[in-house]
Amino acid sequence: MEMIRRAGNWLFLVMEKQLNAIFGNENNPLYHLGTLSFFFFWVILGSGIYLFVPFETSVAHAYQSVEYMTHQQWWLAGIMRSLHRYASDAVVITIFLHLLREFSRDRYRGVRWFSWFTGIPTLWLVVLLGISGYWLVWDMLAQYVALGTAELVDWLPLIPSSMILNFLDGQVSDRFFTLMAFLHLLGIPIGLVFMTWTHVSRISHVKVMPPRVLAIGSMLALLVLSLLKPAISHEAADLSKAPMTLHIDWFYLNIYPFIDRFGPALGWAFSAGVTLLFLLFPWLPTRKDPPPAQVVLANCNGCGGCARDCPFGAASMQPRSDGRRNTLFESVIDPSLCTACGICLGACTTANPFRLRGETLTVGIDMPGYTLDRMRQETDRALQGLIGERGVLVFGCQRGADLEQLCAADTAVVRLPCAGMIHPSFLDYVLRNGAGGVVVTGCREGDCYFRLGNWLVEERMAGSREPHMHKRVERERILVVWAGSGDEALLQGKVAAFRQERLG
Amino acid sequence: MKSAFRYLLQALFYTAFCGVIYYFSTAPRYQYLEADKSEIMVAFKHPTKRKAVCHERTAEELQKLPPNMRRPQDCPRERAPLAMRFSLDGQIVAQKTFQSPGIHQDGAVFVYAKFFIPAGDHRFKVEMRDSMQEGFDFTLEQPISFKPGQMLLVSFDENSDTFTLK
Repeated sequence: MEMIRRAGNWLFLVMEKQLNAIFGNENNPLYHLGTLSFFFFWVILGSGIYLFVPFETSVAHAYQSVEYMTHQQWWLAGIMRSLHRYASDAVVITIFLHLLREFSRDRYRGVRWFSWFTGIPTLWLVVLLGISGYWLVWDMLAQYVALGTAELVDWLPLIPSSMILNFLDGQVSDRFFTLMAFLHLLGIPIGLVFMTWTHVSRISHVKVMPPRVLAIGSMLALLVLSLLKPAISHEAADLSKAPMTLHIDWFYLNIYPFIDRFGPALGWAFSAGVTLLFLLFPWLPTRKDPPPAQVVLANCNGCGGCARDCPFGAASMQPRSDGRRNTLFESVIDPSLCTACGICLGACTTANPFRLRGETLTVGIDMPGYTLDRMRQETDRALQGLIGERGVLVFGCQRGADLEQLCAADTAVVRLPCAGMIHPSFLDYVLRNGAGGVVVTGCREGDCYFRLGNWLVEERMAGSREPHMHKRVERERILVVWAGSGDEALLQGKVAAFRQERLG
Repeated sequence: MKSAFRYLLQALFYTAFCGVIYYFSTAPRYQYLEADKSEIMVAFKHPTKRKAVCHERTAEELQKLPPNMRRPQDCPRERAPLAMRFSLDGQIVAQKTFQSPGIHQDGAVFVYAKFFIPAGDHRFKVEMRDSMQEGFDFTLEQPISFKPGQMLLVSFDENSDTFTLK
């Protein structure tokens, strides 16, 4: 499993690097697979609402109404139909890549199991939505899908009625057809909205729209495809005929040729087996996360920074329980949501290395696995070993570029769980204690392992987000470089240029 | 990288993305039925006969039962399996046995089968056994001209106890 994951991760890193060069990090499609899936869903929804207007939900007229849309009103309804079809296919690609990428990045285990676990049934609903959509055209492909589905359903021993009897010549009723239309138009979409909401319910700062450039590009691409290769139907369904050559949508209908060949029992066994396997992935094997953040109530001033910045909604502000009068709230951590990224520490107004209380640096919220005090000790040690006026201290994320290659007499490194753990005052602390410059580095821009690290660091550096950096800090002595695994040369180059140009 | 070149590469990326979408949304094509074949589909529901016949309980047997369960007849619920055999020009092309569903195996059998045959003129025979007797209880044999791509639906009419072909 580990080998597959590493290979997948390497492959994604290579592809992402190429796409970063083409699209720029902020618009890299691989960094926005989730939001692209949402976007395609909005396209499907919008085009579907339009198609519902001219669509006839009766067996006798469904096909004619679709043909009317495709040929007579091709310039609007036809394009809408094609957009509906191609956006549905696109969403399968983006969801599948999203799933592969999260697996490769190891972002599906530990406390992050929930999003993975709820994502699998979501994929099922997407497939069911697509399949039910193919029924509504009521052409030979729809007939093939309807009979195949009935064969699958009838195999289930728990369902006493025989679905296939509804599809025999002269037996298809408007009532049954309307039921299918209801499922496609309302039933399954509602289920899908609920599941996607559940899927993202354990993360904060959820985005449901990709960057505008990417949305426009994807939309234009689908529009061009719809104009060049409009979606068309097979001939009308005829239950006295067997379908012969079918142009199957393999994104959705791949199960049907499978059951033609191997039967419904194996079809169910395969689908259920794959689903179960994917559902169990977070525990194959399970991962032990570092201990979650801990609130030190005596030091917590209730500023709310942790709750505001936590990417997983693990921190929340609740009424004060210790009777302290100068603040109404205290931070509370839900350990089942905490990924131990340390971003809360970087957001905490008390996480200031200049603040001393006895020998140990105390803070309102701390990471038992990597305390603020340890961070300062490591920083102090690194500063002591730094030689020369142009010495640079690098704060780097453990998941980004390999920092080992940077270590030299004039370059010291402090490794953190996430770049977002750095409180801005730490940079001030480093510069005031002998370093010529300070570098903050972490995962590639837009690809933070903990979702928001890059963004939060940028916001804090820019002063648009608390905690702010002191005005006296010389900004030109600070460099932020986003460099992921494999970007070591880029990082070295940037640090060398920084030293030469700004610290010279 | 220069802007124009980047836009060109972006366009290529979108083209490849759409190419994958278009190709797999319609291809490779799937041949469900060869051009010279026809399909026979069998689908109907039929309650088979009981496996064992009812027997009259003796006075002694009745006496052993609680008063509220003293029915004069003892009728086992289990029904016989349903066997079907299809022949074309004297050659058996398919045969299948279906068990009665339910915990007591007393439900109506749902018969579903499909198979492909060469198109053309054939002598088609369908046989069905729904009891525990030897041989077949119902038989239909007739010449049929199968057109390529035709789907022949075989079902069983409960009222007339005869096969229907559509």
